[in-house]
Amino acid sequence: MIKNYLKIAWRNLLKRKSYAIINISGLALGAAICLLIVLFIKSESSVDSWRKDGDHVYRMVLDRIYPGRQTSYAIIPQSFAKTVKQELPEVEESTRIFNFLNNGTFQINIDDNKYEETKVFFADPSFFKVFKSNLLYGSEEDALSKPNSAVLNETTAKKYFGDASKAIGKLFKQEGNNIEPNEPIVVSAVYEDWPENSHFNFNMLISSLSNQGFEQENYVGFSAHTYLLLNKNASPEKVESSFPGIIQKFALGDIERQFATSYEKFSSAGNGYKYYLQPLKDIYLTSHLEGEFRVNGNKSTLYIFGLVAFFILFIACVNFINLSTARSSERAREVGVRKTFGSEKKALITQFITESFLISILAMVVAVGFFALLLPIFNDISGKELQMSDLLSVNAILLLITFTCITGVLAGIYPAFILSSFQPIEVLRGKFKSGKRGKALRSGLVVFQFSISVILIVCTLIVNRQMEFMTSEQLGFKKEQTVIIERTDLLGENTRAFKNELKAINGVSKVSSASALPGMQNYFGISWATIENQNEPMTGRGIIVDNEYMETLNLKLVEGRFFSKDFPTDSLTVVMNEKAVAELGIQDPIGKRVVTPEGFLNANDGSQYVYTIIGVVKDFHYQSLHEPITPLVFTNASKFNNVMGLVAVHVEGTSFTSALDAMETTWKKFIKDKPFSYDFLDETVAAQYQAESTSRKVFTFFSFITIFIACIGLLGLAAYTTRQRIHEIGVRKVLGASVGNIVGMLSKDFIKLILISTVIAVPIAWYAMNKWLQNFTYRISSSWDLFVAAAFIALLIAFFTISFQAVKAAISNPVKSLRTE
Amino acid sequence: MLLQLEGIFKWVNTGGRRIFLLKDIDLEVEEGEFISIMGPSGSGKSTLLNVIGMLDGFNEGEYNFLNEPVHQLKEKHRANLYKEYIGFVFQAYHLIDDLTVYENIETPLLYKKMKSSERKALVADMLDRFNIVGKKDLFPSQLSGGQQQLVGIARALISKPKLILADEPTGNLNSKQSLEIMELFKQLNEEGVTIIQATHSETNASYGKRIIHLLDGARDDYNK
Repeated sequence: MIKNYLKIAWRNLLKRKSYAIINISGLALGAAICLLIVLFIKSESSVDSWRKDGDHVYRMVLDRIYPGRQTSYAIIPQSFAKTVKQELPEVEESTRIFNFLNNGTFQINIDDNKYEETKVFFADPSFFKVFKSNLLYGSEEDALSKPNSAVLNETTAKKYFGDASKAIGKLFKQEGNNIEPNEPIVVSAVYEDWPENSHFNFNMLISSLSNQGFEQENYVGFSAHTYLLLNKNASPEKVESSFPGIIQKFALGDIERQFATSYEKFSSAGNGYKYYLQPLKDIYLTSHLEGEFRVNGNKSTLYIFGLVAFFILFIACVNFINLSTARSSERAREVGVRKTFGSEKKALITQFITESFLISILAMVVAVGFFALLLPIFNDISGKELQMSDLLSVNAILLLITFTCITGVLAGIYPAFILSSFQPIEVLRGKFKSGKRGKALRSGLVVFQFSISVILIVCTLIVNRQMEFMTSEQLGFKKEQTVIIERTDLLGENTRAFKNELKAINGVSKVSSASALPGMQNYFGISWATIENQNEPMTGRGIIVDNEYMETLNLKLVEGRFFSKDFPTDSLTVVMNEKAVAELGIQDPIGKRVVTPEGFLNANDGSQYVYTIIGVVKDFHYQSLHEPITPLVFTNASKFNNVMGLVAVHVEGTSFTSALDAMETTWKKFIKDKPFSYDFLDETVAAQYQAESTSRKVFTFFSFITIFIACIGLLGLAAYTTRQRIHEIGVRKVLGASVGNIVGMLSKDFIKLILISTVIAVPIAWYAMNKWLQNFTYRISSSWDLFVAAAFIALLIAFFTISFQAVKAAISNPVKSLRTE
Repeated sequence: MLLQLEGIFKWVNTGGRRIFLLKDIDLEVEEGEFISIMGPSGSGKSTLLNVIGMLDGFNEGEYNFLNEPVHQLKEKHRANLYKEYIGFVFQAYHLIDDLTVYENIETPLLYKKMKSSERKALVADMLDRFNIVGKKDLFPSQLSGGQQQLVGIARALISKPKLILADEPTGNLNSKQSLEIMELFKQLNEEGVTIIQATHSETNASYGKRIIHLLDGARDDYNK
C-alpha cells in the first residue's frame, strides 16, 4: 500500500517538476535556516553545561554602587576568595583567576625562542578542585601548588614540546610582560583541552603563588574572577545573605583607608558594595558585567532567533499547504475514483501524508545543501563558528528526522483532510470547482506570510536608519583619521619626547594624552560641588587630559579657554561640558571655584584643593547614543606629568598607513619589549553599537530569506491560478483585452492581499520598533515614509513575482488555450 | 431480489422552488438482469444510477439492497456495502493518470487489503481476459478511448461485484469501440453479472433485457 502511495507521489513530482522544485526548495530553505538557528541556540545555551559538578559552582560578582549610579563587575577584590571559604561552611572550595593580560598576549621564551601565547591566566592552586578537568600528565596535587609552576592544556603542550607527555618538568621564561615572577616557570601538569563552549578557556595557567601581590590583603580593588564550589545541599541565597556580614567584618578597614572617610559617611553618601552569586551555567547567557573574559551571549537574541526560525519554517509550510490545496482540483478526480473503488477516508489521508513526507524528506536532503551554502553567512552574522560536522552529531540527526516529521505532518495534514473529504459524486460529475475551495484559507495564509515579510522589512529599514543616524549624527567631535595608541603609561617620563617624535611624523597634525577617549568606558565617576554650596554636589564623569585634547578631537569651546601651556597654574583648573555647568546650577561659570572629595585630585594629606573653572566645551557624545550626555569635567594631566594611558593621534592627508608605520617605529624606539597596540577612534566609537550592528545584519538576512520564501509560494500560487484561468484569459483576449489588462486582472487579487498584509503589519512593526528605539536616547522617529517604503517594497516584489506568470499567460496565443478546453 | 427501490424522491431547492430530480421511482432488480435506463439529457438517468450506487442520497422513499435497508444505514455501512458488491464504469473512464494500467486495475484490491500474491493472480487473470497484457505498463494517456474504457471495466470487475453500474459507458467512444464494449457487457451478463447502464443510444439500450424510460425524473415506461 505504502509502495503504491510512494509510487504515485513520485510520479506526481516528476510530472510537475516546477511545482516540485518550488515546493521542495521553499521547504528546504526554511528547514536549512531552522537548522542553523536551532544549532545556534543549542550551542549558545549549552555553554559550560559539560562541566562536572557545574551545578554547584558559582561566580562571586558585585554591584559597585556610586552616588547616583552603579557599575557591575565580574571581578572582585582578591581577598574575598580565601575569606569566604574560611567563614562560610557552605563554601567547599574557592578559586581565583587573574586575567592580568586583559586578553592580550603573553610573551615566553623557550630555549632562546620567543613565542606569544594567548589565554594565559594566574590561577589559585584550588583551580582544578572547582573546575574539574581531565588530567593527562603530571599530578593534580602538583598542578598549581608551587610558585613558578604552570599548567598547559594539551594543544599548547603539543605546540611547544611536540608531545604533551614530554612537557612535564620543562622550563620556560616569561619576559617583558611587566609582571612577577622573573624566575623560570616549570610545567607541572597537562590537562585535556576544554570544549570551546565555555565562558572562558585557558591555554596556560600560572600558579598565583608565583606573584606575592595576589596574597596581599585587599578588599577594594577589583581584580579576581572568583569562583566558589558550594556544598551539594548549600543554598546560594543563604551564602549571598552572609556577604554583608563579611564586608562588615573584614573589608571596612580597607574601605575606610582607601576613601579616607568612615564607612558610615561612605555609605550615607550613596556608596556601597553588593556581592552576589551567578550560577556557572548561567554566566554565558545572562552576565554582561565589566571585566568579563569575553563578550557573552544574549538570551533575547536566542528568543528572537527562535521566533524567526519558527516563522520561517511556518511560512515554508504555508507554501506547501497553499500549493497543495490550490492543486486539489487536479487531484480531486483521483480522490473520487479511489473512493468509488473502495478507499476509506483514512487511507486517503495516509496517502496524502505519505506524499508530503516524501516531499519533506527530499526537502531535508536539499536543506543540508542549503545549510552548507548559508553556513558562512550565518556564522558571520551570529559570530558563531558552527560547522558542517555539527550536523553529524546524534542530536542534529534526530533533529533532522524530527523536522522531517513535523514539516511532513504540518504541511500535509490540511491538504490531506481537504482532499480526502471530497464527495466522489461531485468530483466525478465534473461539476467540482476547487478554485473556490479553500480560497479564503489560501488568502489568509498569503496575508500572514506577507505580514511577517512587511514587518521584517520595516524592522530592517528602521534598524538600518538608526545605525546610519548613529554613525552620522553630530557627535560633537571628530572621530575620523584618529589613531589611539594604548598603554602609553609605560612611557613614563618619556611621554613628552614620544609625543614630540609623533608630531614630527609626516601627516600627523595633533597629538594628545588622555585617560579616556569617546566610546570608551573608562571615564571615572566623580562628584563636584561649588565651594559655596558643598552640600549639593553634582555627580558626573571625569577625565584627565593634556592641553591638546580639545583640538585633537576638535571639540567646540563655548566659553573661556581650554588648558594651555601658557598658564602654568592650570593644574588647579577644570574645564566642563555644558551639562556639568547646568547641573551645578551656576551662571557665568568662568572663574567659579569648585571642589571634589576624590582622593587623587586633592592633597596627599587629605586637605582639599580648590579648582577654578576656566572653560566650557559644547556637549559631545563621549558615551554611546544609548545614554544621554552626562556632566563631564576635564582636569589637567600636567598634575600627573602628562603620563596617561592613551595617546590620540590625528592624522591628516592620505598618508595614513605610512603614518601608522612611523608611529610603530617610534613606539619601538621607546618601548622595546611591548608590542605597539593601537585602535582607531571611529572603530572604538562604532564598537559601542555592536549589538545593533548584529541586529542590523540579522534583520537584513532574515527578512531577505522570509521574503524569498514567501515569494516562492506566491510564484507557485500565481502560476496555479493563472493556469486555472487560462480559458478565461483566452476568451478575454479574443474579445480584445490587452496584455496590460490581463496582467492587471491576474495581479489584482494578489495585490489586494499584499495591501491587507501591510495594513496588518504596520501597527505591529510600529509598536515593536518603537520599543527597540527606546534603547536609544538619541534616536530617529519611526516616520511614516519608512512604512510606505516597506509596503512599496513588498508590493513591488510581489508584483514582480506574479507578473512573471501573468505576462507569460497574457502573451500566449489565445487559440491554444481555447482549443484545450 | 438484488435491490428494490420504493417511492424514491430526490429534489433540490433553488430560488424557493423545489426541483425534482427523481420523482416517485419504483424499481426492482433481480440478480442476473441487464437493465438499460434511457431518457433525454437531464431526465435523471445519472442521478438514479448514483442513488443505486449509493454515491448519492435521496430525500424520500425506501431502498433495500440485498435485504439491507440502505436508507437507514450509516454512511460508513453504506460505503462498505457498495465497495463489496458494486462496480462502477464511467463515461469519462476516470482512470488515475499517474498509475499504469496494471496499477489502475489493482487499486480496488489494495483497498480490500488483499495479499500481494493474490492481487497479482487476479490482475493477471483480468489482463488476460481483456487481452491487454501487453499494455499493462502503459499509462492511461497512452491508450485509446476504447482501451481506456476496457481498463475501466476491468477495474470495475476485479473485485467480483454482483452489480455493475455503467453511466454512458460508450458516450466518449466511436461506434466500433462502442460495439466492442457492449458485446463485452453482454458476455459479462451471460456469465451472471447484473448490469444497469444509462444510455442515450437506442442501439446500446437494446442490449439490455429490460429498458426503463425516464423523463424529468419520473418513470415514463407507460408511454412507450
